Amino acid sequence: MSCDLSVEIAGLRFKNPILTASGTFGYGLEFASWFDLGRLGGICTKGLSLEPLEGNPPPRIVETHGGMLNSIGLQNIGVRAFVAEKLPQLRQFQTHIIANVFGSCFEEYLEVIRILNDAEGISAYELNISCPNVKAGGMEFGNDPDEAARLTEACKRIARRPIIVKLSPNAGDIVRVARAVEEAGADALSAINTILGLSVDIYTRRPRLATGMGGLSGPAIKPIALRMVYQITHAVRIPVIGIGGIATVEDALEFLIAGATAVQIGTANYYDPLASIKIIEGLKRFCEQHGITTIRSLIGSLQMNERLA
Amino acid sequence: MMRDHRVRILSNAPETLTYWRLRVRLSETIAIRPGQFVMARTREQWEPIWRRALVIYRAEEHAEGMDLEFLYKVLGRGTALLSRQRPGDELEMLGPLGNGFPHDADPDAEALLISGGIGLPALYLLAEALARDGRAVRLFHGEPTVEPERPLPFLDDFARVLEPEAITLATEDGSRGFPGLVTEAVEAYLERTRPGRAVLYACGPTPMLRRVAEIAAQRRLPAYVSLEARMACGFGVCLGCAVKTQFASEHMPHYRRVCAEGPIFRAEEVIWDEL
Repeated sequence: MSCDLSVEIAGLRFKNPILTASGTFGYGLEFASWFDLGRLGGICTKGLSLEPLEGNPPPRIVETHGGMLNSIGLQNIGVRAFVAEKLPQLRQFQTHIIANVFGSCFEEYLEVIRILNDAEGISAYELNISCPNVKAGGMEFGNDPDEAARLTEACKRIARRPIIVKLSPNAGDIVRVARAVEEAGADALSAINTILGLSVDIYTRRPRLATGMGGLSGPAIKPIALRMVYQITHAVRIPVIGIGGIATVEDALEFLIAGATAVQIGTANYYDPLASIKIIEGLKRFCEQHGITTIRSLIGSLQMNERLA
Repeated sequence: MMRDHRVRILSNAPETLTYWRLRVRLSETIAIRPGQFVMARTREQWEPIWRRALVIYRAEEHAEGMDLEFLYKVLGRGTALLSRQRPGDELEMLGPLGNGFPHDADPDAEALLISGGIGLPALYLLAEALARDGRAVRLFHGEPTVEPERPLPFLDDFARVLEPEAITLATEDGSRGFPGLVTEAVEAYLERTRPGRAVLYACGPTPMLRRVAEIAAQRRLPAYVSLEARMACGFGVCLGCAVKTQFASEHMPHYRRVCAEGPIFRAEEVIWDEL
């Protein structure tokens, strides 16, 4: 008996709940030599801005225990080059392409979406309101529930595709931001982006990243991400895509059980380009071994101790 | 083609006080360009999270596939873990990665290979390829210090493909060979012989590479440098290893990835003040 791995988010059917996270999967095509991208539930592209961005000066990354800090600075080729040079190949694959969108101001988000609206082969937009590394990364929208809602509403008004809002763990209260953007019309949420962190070189007494601080990712952040996804899914009705340190099939299952409808694989793609495929295979095996006929039966099945919940 | 190869360790032992030699067996043969690298990790490795970039030192084809050799220094958690792996253990190696040295840059020119410390392994396959083509090749290798009377087995490797007198060892403390920086040894050689045409190929610490770039610019010689940078992936997606260079592309005028467009760059393309 084979298990039905499909899930539905914002009216879109995903063949399985495994997506790849923005910023860790290039424009998708970089992985096409490793496996058939059509095996993925979906691909979130590198964050796209109106104009190309060069990113931050090096060093941009540093390894930490169980994870890494990055301050890439949203380097990307710009939305027009993405549409002209990457999308035609990318849309050949039988998977959902989710364009990750950011801007330095309101109007820029809208302009990027307008350009993408006219392009074929994109299933949804993921609004990055949570990059901790650049001013232009939308952090000011991500931290403030009212601003996040205003941006979501404006994007929603012009977007021809569903809007997924990617939330920041660095916001004072991520659940408030989640509720605000749901109210503003978001079709789904993804959480979490990286957690702002710092690493110090004790010999030079300087930060190990050129920009000082950076975003922490990798297995080190998983329990925090899981807790936040659990809290968010109990506060909103729209689906939540879990992100944060997922490296194994067990990690992915934890997020589904905690309430995520799907998950994104991020940092694991770096040290294992086949990580997402291994997790999809692992999900099938787990379901078969445990007599689970649909993966949807796992979503939100966490039995929280009521006195502690 | 780039793949994640599962390889078996044949040997892994310290060669000198600082250098370890790792030899692994692949069950197939792969095409390698001099200066290319692999991203390596142990099986089921969770800590440290990144693979480690290892330049391919030597490669030998045989009936069962191919043996690859690597030289490394134990510098941190990743290389310490690697040094604890035993013959028979398996490693995962993604590769070969990077662009590699152009060894036909100027077929009539003398090739001057310049290395500092653990930069040396990047140059062996290049020395071998150039020597095979009948090119005039010299190696200049620098170390801070070398224990008196201790053998340097890796220099013996080079002595099998180059004339022994074509190899110059420089030590900063003068404990062996040329007393001073390796770049000073190169300059002394260029001053003495004034070769009309020469190509410089270098791998080592950034100050050394920068000096090589200056020497090349002063004498109007082409130079290729192999850069190092922290890498999370090694195959072009994390963008962590970006370095600032002269014009790169329409979309990205400056930053190039050490893992993908590099690790070998023309010396004059590198913006040294921003490394």
